[in-house]
Amino acid sequence: MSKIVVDMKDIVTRFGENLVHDHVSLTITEGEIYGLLGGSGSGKSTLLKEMIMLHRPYSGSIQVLGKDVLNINMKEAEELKKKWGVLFQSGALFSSLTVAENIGVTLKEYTDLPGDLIDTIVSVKIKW
Amino acid sequence: MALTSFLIGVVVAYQGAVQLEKFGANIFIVDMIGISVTRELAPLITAIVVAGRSGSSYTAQIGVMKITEEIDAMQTMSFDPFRFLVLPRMIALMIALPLMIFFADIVGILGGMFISEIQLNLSFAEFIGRLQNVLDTKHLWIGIIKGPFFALLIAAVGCFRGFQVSYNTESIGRYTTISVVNAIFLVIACDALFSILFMELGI
Repeated sequence: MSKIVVDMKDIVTRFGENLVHDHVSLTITEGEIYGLLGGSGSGKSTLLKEMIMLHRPYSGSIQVLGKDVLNINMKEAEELKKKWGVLFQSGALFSSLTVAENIGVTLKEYTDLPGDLIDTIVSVKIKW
Repeated sequence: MALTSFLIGVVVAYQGAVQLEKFGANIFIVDMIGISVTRELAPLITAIVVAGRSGSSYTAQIGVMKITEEIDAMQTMSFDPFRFLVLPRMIALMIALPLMIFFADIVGILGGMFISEIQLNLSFAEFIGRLQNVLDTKHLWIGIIKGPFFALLIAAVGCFRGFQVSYNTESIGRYTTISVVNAIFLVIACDALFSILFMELGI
């Protein structure tokens, strides 16, 4: 049995009167490719946003990499956020930065690497 | 901004010249322009212009970032949007606005000086000589000290409204409008509070 990466249990989401998720549960294991299908407005993106702490469900529990993201302290949340990568619907590149700066931004913020080394890493990534 | 301040100086001088001429008190145009421009008009006009151009652009920039999910992306990467988007804008505006007010002071007085020459035949030398006597530096400082407060209000409102933008393009326009209207109102309200404060303090 491989490791469980995302585990959502009994998720209920409502927007005002609108019930979007009625006790949704899902488990995603390591290496698994998991697809969500549904009509427009059926709550696919909302479910994903709940996984990455952008939206809070009305009730239920969510575990990502063994961490309960609904009751997580700031320090742990920061650790967790460094481990995951998210591709948004519209790309969500930082439009005020250049492509190279977009690639290097996490290195710049989270490491003490000198600027020229970051530039080298970025150019390796781009040429590849 | 320069033209607006210049015209404010011109308007005050024109209006004042007509009245003062009746009393033969032409020279007092200098007091009027010097004090009213530096204390009230330059800070207020500058703040209103800045609320229109920077406040609106803050809201629009942050609003678009919200729509393109850049802000969500920042959060998933654990970049605090307040530290990366709001704080730099606030600090930048708090530095820039006082400087712009100082510039508006100069241009506004210049505008008044030209009109005094044309309307009242008050030479530049006389104008400046009188200005040195009547315009205490405290008036200049009172005007400039308002700058950071106005800037804080404009930047705070601009950013706050930007974050309120929801996921459709229409709301950018709506919140930009709200942002400018709110910012201008708050600036004027803040100026009124300052007037009361300075009056009570007797400065």
